[in-house]
Amino acid sequence: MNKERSRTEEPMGTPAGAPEDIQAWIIARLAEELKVPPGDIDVRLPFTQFGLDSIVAFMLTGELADRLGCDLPATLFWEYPTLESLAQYLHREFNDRPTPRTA
Amino acid sequence: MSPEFSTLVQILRWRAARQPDRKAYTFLIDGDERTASLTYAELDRRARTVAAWLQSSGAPGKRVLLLLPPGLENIAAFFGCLYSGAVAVPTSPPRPNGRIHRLKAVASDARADFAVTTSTLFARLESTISRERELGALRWLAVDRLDPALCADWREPEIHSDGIAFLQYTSGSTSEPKGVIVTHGNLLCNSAIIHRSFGHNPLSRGVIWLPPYHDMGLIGGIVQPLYGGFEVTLMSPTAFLMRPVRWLRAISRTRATTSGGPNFAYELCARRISPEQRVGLDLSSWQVAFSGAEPVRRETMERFTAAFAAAGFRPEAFYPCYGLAEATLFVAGGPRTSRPVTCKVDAQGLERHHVRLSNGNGHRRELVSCGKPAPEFEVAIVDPERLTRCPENRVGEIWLSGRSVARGYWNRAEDTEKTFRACLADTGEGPFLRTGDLGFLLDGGLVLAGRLKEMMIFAGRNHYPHDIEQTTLEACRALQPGNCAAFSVDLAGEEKLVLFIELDDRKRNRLGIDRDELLASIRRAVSEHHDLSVHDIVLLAPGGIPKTTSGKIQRHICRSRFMAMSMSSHDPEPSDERDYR
Repeated sequence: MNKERSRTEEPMGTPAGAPEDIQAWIIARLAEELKVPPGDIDVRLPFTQFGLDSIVAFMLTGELADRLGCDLPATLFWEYPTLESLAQYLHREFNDRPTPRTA
Repeated sequence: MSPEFSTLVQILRWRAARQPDRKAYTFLIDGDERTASLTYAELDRRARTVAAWLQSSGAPGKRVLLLLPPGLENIAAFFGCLYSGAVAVPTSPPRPNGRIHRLKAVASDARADFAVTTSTLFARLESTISRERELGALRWLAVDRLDPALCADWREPEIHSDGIAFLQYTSGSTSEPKGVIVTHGNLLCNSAIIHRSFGHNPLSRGVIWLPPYHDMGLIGGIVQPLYGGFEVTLMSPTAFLMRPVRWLRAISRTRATTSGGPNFAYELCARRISPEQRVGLDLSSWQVAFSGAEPVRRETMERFTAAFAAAGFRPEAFYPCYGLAEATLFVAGGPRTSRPVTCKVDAQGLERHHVRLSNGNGHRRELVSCGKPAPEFEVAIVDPERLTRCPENRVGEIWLSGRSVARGYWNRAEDTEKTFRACLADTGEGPFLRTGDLGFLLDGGLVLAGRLKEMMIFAGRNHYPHDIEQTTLEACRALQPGNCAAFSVDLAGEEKLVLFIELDDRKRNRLGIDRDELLASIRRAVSEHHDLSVHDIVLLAPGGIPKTTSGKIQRHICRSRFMAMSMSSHDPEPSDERDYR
């Protein structure tokens, strides 16, 4: 396990739609649902390490899809089990349409 | 319903002959407006196709795993099993890269010979199946690959009301799953109870997102509409969880009269459906909003009502109910046309199993009554130690008897004897089903007040402490058997998982294990194996977990210690691990 955790900044403060914004939003929502400090969410560790369960995973996938204004696979958090891999996937998939709906 | 039916097969055959073109099941493919439907005649034909294949393969009398995602194929496969005279074993399909411990354990416990799935799911599972002995030995059928012409080969089997319809695996731990034997007679009896209690008629309309491999989704969501001859609109649990508003939109759009789920589903709607999403919802048709499978909370019902009264939701629609797979499904519920009944009892008295209604200022607990038990059940509230009936003002174990009580656990004579064949010690009355649930009767209504069994319920799903303790021990080599206690606590109206862990710091240092890493690896293992979030992990010095002299973990003492710790801490909702060494 990585001992030097890559601490993440508090969410918000980046333009809406930018990949950083989506990442920050995911961190904020995960922290809220799993009741962990946002700073504890390491982008390289699996979500399960913070106690992610399927109810929260499905709920966040739905909210994320609403924000991005697109369809996302229900198994998103299992296919991309870390924030880093998830953010990369979203960036690759949605780079061409950087104007998401606001929830 | 005419009383002459003795099996579910006869009911579907009857409807297919008399009402062939009536829509039976509509599935919302993406949870929104794309739909696929089956009429009774179409379902009958598809069931005969599946059944003909099973019959020609020698499946009658054998166990057939149903491994299909929610949808019309799942329903056709279920009825196909019944049509063939085989025993259906509904199971939940594993997620991509998900664990298959439970599936393997169920396949082996049921002594299944066949598995029915879809070609998509089979392709995904193929490599896993070939690797695992329990799954590789099964004969696999992809329902969508069947030649529809096969249906002509079907022969109606001779099934009686005491014939086994399916095995319901929601009881028992992962390591020791228990399949409840549900007969056609049980199903018809319970279906009649639900039909009458919910006030169903041919004009009723259902909306169900509950999983079809869970008793509430299968018997309540699929069997009941067929029994009552009314249309139901189904969607997958995933579709609901991703966008909870889909559930209420489906009710609104179809003018549904019956719908429901565990308490958490109402909570999720109240919390996560935005005011903008509520616009345009019309819930005025909703007559029975059933809430079951986990404790029903007054606060949740109030929050839900506050959020959706403007959309026409009536609080009288709330219908708390109690049931369990061992009694087929439904035991008690209601009242149907007025608001749920609640009572306030003295909390300290309740700890000692005394029921003292209290309007004073002392520490009280408010409980929701699950309504009157159906008259088909004889209910006894029993002192679980003396095995005699409790006096009126006492909490005791709920014992049940009647035709709806299932036959027992599949291939588990000893467990069946213990759970299904209990007799009262003084009068010899019996046999009763011991539910393992604690409760009391108040004005004829059943009030649940805790559990004797160690089962925990998170979001409507049953979990067992032993499984979670095992996972925890396996996650860390610094821990030994007995070093972990898993139990649940009630916090802010929700059941939460807490772990007590005995940790020898010297040993941990010797092994070079970091404390934070240890906690993270435990959280991760519990999340991966059980799909659960650990609310709190409390570290204790060796010997810190309360045990009996014979070494059995005393979970009720763990629970009260934890509650005392929470109350004395400044943070009323502990979420960080704390050290109590």
